[in-house]
Amino acid sequence: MKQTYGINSKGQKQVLKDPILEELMKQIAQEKPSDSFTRNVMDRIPEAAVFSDEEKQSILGFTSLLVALFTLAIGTLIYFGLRSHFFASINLQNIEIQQYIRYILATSHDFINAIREIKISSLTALIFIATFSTFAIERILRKRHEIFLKQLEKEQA
Amino acid sequence: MRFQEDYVYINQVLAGNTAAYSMLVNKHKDMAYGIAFKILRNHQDAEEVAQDGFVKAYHSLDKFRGESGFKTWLYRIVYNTAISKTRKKQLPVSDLEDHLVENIAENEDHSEIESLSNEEKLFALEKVIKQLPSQDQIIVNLFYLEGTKVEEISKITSLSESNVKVKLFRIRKKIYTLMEKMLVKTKEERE
Repeated sequence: MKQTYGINSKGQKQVLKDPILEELMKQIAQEKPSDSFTRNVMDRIPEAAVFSDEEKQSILGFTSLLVALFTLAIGTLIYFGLRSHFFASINLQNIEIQQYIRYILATSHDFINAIREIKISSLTALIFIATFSTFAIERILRKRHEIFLKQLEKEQA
Repeated sequence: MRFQEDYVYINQVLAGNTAAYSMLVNKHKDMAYGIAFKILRNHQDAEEVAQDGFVKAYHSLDKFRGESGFKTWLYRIVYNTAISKTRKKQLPVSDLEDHLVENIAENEDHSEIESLSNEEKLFALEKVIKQLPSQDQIIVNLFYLEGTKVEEISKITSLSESNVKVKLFRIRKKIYTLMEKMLVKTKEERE
């Protein structure tokens, strides 16, 4: 029988490898887990335990905040740029197609002008960016701290 | 199915792709379950323990430093969880005591076994392996079936490397001796 020898710490020859035994072992039917094994494991794993749900929520929350701020900024610009039209009394029944097109063009023109007229000094821009970044960083750190505390509570539980 | 290296899936999981973990489960579930089953000797308990092992490994994946292979780390978790379960349930760990084969003379001539047909060899080996103590079954499976290195088996079972080598030597001897005994018994029964 072909055998491979190993030397133990005492310098004695010991048979470790055995190709015949290896081959036979591979042919023996091994115990198998159920078909639902993987599904059961995955069911017990939260959506993202390494990157937890809370972390995902915080990212989602931050995105929502950005969208809300952007919408608010656009809304403010539109309001100040087009307020003359907002307060104009328009009788919809009297508007003809040409008038309507003229109105759309005038509105677009006013909107572009409103954006062009926005003048902001570099210092103001810097203050704005710094304030916004500080707010964003503070929010991310606060969320992470909350997640850490929750995980700590879970571990202690 | 051909699997990729473990670190590929681990990196994907750490990047937030939880589904990639199912590939690691599929890749290692048979051996993880096998280890648990050999210790617990019960399908339900083995399934539960192996699943616990995978879930534990998942939750600690960000702490996994890759000093040893993922499978070594996972099998160690499953092995320890199964051992803890036997202690809680006070289950016997082994069926065959070492003293039954302790006095067996060292005999490297296995010509009688070699003369058997493959089916007969398989039948005898399967029976003999089932009689071995749980730890011996795990060691023999890891070494001969999985091709796990002695160093890794040592990490999984918390035995020293030299102890694993000695055990492998003895287990192998035990297997052949018990197979020969079985052969003699069968011959006697036939006569």
